[in-house]
Amino acid sequence: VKIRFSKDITWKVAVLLAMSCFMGSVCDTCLGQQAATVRGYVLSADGRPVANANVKVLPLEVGFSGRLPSAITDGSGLYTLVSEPFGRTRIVATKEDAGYPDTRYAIFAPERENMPEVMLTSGAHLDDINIRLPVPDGSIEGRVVSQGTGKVILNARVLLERVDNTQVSESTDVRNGTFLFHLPKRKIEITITAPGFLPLKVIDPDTGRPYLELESYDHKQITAEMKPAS
Amino acid sequence: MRHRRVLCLTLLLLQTIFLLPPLIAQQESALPQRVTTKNKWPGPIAAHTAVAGFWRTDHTFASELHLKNNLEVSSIEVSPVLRMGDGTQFPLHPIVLEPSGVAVVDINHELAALPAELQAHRSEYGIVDVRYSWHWEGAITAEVQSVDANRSLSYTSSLYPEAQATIKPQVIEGLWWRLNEKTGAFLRVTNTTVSPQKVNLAVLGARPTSSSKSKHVSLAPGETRMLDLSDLMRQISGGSGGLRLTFTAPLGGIVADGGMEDAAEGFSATLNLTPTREPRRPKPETMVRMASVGVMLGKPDPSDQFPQQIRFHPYTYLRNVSTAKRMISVGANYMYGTNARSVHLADLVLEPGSSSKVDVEAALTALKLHPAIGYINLTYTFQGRPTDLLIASGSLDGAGTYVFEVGAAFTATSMAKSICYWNSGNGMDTMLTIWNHGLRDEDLVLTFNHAQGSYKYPIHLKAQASEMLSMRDLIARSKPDADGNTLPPNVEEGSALLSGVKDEIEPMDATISVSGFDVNHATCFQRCYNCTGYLINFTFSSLPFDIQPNQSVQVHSFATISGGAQYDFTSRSDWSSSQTGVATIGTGSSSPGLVNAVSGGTTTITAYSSAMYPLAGQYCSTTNPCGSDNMDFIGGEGGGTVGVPSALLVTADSTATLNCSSYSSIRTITYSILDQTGRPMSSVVSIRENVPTTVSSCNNTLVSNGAQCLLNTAYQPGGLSNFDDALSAGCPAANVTTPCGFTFQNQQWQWCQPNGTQSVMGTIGKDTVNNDLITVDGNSIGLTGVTFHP
Repeated sequence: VKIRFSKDITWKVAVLLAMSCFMGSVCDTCLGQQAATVRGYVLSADGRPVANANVKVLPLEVGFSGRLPSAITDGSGLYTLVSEPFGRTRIVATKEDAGYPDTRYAIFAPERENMPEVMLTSGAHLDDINIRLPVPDGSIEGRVVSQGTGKVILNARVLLERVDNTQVSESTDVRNGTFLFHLPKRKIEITITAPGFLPLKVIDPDTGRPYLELESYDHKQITAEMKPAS
Repeated sequence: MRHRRVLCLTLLLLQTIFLLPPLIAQQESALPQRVTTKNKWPGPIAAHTAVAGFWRTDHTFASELHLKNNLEVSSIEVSPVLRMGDGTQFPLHPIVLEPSGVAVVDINHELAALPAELQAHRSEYGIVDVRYSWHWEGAITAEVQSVDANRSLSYTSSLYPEAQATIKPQVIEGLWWRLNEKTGAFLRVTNTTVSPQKVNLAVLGARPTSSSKSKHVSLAPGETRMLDLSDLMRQISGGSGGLRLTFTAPLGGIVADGGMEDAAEGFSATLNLTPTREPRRPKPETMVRMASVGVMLGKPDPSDQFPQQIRFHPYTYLRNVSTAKRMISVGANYMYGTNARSVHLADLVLEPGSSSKVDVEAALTALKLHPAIGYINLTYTFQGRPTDLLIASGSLDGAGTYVFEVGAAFTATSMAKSICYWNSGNGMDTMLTIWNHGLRDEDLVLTFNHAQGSYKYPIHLKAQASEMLSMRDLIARSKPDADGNTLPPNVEEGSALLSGVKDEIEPMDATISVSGFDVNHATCFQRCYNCTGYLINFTFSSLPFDIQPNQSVQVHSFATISGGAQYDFTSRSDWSSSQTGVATIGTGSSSPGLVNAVSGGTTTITAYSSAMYPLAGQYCSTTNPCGSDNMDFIGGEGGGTVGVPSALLVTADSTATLNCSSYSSIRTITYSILDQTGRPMSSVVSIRENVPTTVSSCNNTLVSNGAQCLLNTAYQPGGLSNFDDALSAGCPAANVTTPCGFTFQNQQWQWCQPNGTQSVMGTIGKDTVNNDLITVDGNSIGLTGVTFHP
């Protein structure tokens, strides 16, 4: 696109326009800044293609707000991701229902890193950026209810924390009184809070320990009975 | 004589004026285009039953059920159920019929396997029902053929629609005739309902006021009764008369048919019966022409292998079952060489309820037609409605053993006609007669479907010309069709479709009759056919639609025909929108079916097309009233929503430690875009984030944001209306002082309208995004359930 400035437009306006465009979401071409394209396959631990995985970006050098680009893999596990030129960026693949959580969140990071790091520059075309997923995580499924009445608590919040003092945590609202997390094989504490109830630390129903350490394919179910605050 | 000529000429003139012009106009318009992509069917799949095909195994009768799949696009499973005279059911094994495929069930054979617990209910006659599931009624057709080869007796019985819930006083009118005083008759009556029913039966003379004999019949639920009418008929003088069954029952709850017979002479013929129901919409009286095509005359063709001495004599009996006097002109059409000729035979006046013989043979003799004329097409023209006359016609030999019945059908422009069953071989043959009853040449094609494939036989018929075909001859001829296919010599049965050469929806002026016969046993049966027609309901693409103001969507309407093929009716439909303030739709020559959204709300889109051929005669009959008498509207409607993105609902909110080398957080808020009614938008929305574009974060780099308008397609965690807002200060470099991050004073999300303008969907408020804490609208814990408005 050719843009011609009239004489009375100051250089400040031109700079502002350029910056505005650079900061915009994915643009094919915009004042010299072109989208970067990343292609590759998402494969399971045993090398099989993973279809319908969601491939996302984690920009490492810039702050961000808004929608981040993503792509879905096809039947052969192939994805094509079009992104702004974020600079250093990690590419991650998630498929929650198959046991692959969003590893941009440190709490879900597997023991072995599986996020290729790429340099997304203007107009870059990066091929063979393959993502090898680890074995699927174990999962914890829970219901949050009021102790005594058994009534589902709809506005609880679940806090996941690593217990190795790494300050890694994840805190999310509980939808419809139920939650499901896929967790890597790490010691993770789960604390549930809800307005009007005392915080509840989840005990592993099998080991009695105040944290969970799930093996791959583990599936645990709990009912978190919250005690009213008064 | 002069009066007769005047009447004849007047009728001929009226026939030309009233019958033909609209039909010719229809033929001249371009045909709708058949669509190759599969659209949804017009209606959900549902269970249907065709009921009460009459079978009998008394004496040496053998009965067969002939089944045909009317669908060209799908196989279908059918489940026949035999019912004994008392209604006891005996379900048979299901049968899968291939597209256009046929199957034959040997009822005697099935009865031989009647379980012990049902033996006490075994009877010598009963009915058969056929159950199937499809998206519309009439996906299969069926008839029962009962033949007593030893006594040269044969009958055909069609299956009927299921009884409806509406209980009404009803009348079934009939026409009987006899060869001589020894001719008897039987009537079978079936109660297809689950309640006891009473039927009053009256046997009438040629003039209903002259004489009548009646009796009452009580029927248990599901019961079939075979009544001997011979005694009642003997009490009435004359060669023909009427029959009247009166009862109050659910519509279709009483089914009746029957026959005249003289077993000693091998004479059997159909007892014509018709229910006289009120039409859905009363139809005006018009000039009507009925025709019995393929009535054999004189010495049969030697190739048909009839005994040497056989000579065929035509017969016709008429009964007026309307409530008004009918003046009827009887004519004949025949082929003389390659030319069609028409002659007038007789005029007669029939009072309501009265019946009469038409001495066709005497009229033909007086005309001194060439003896080589092997068959004629009889026509009956009158002012009235097609259902006003009961017509028994055909030809028989001198002894009455060979009876070739020919049903009289309404001569109207129609779409294709589907012949349910033909067979050939083992002494059997099937004869088809096709008459071009119009004033223009017709190019037709007969497509014979059989187990090994199909064969197309082209037929060119000049105006008023006819052709008689024998299946045995066609198979023996072994002439390849245009696709190189032949009728293999080992093929013995199948179905057939008579259509225009362009498509089966092409209007054609063709009257047909189909007869099966066995020369050796002197048995003959009419074969039934049914009419290709449009289902009354359209299906639509892109309905219901869900779009936004200033967006457009093209809606297509599709009509489905009885065989399952679909046609694009978009440009033939009259379109309308119930709320033009919400959305308008193009119609006529102005972008038909194109919806333009105006403002938020819902609307109903309606499309219809007139003067088509709605599905008629779904059940196989020898006299199906295919054609323009059944013209009606076809169409349908569907909803549409014009949604205006109006608010944002937080459906999930999580904060986590970012997976990078230094400590930082990421907060992901999932918003659902709500429309003006508070429901999630179900159309793809183009959105943008409205925040300053010059804000820097931890590493003194500009914050990436969603300022560019983008369709919310690739970013949909859980639905079209959802999007994620990911907020993070990024990963601080080692030399950056923490905490660090950025602030948006007033974050907004906007809807990018198709016309290029933006409007606010939700104002979020102040965002403070630091590497160690992220607050949105002052909240650092979670916003799930909160709605943000503009």
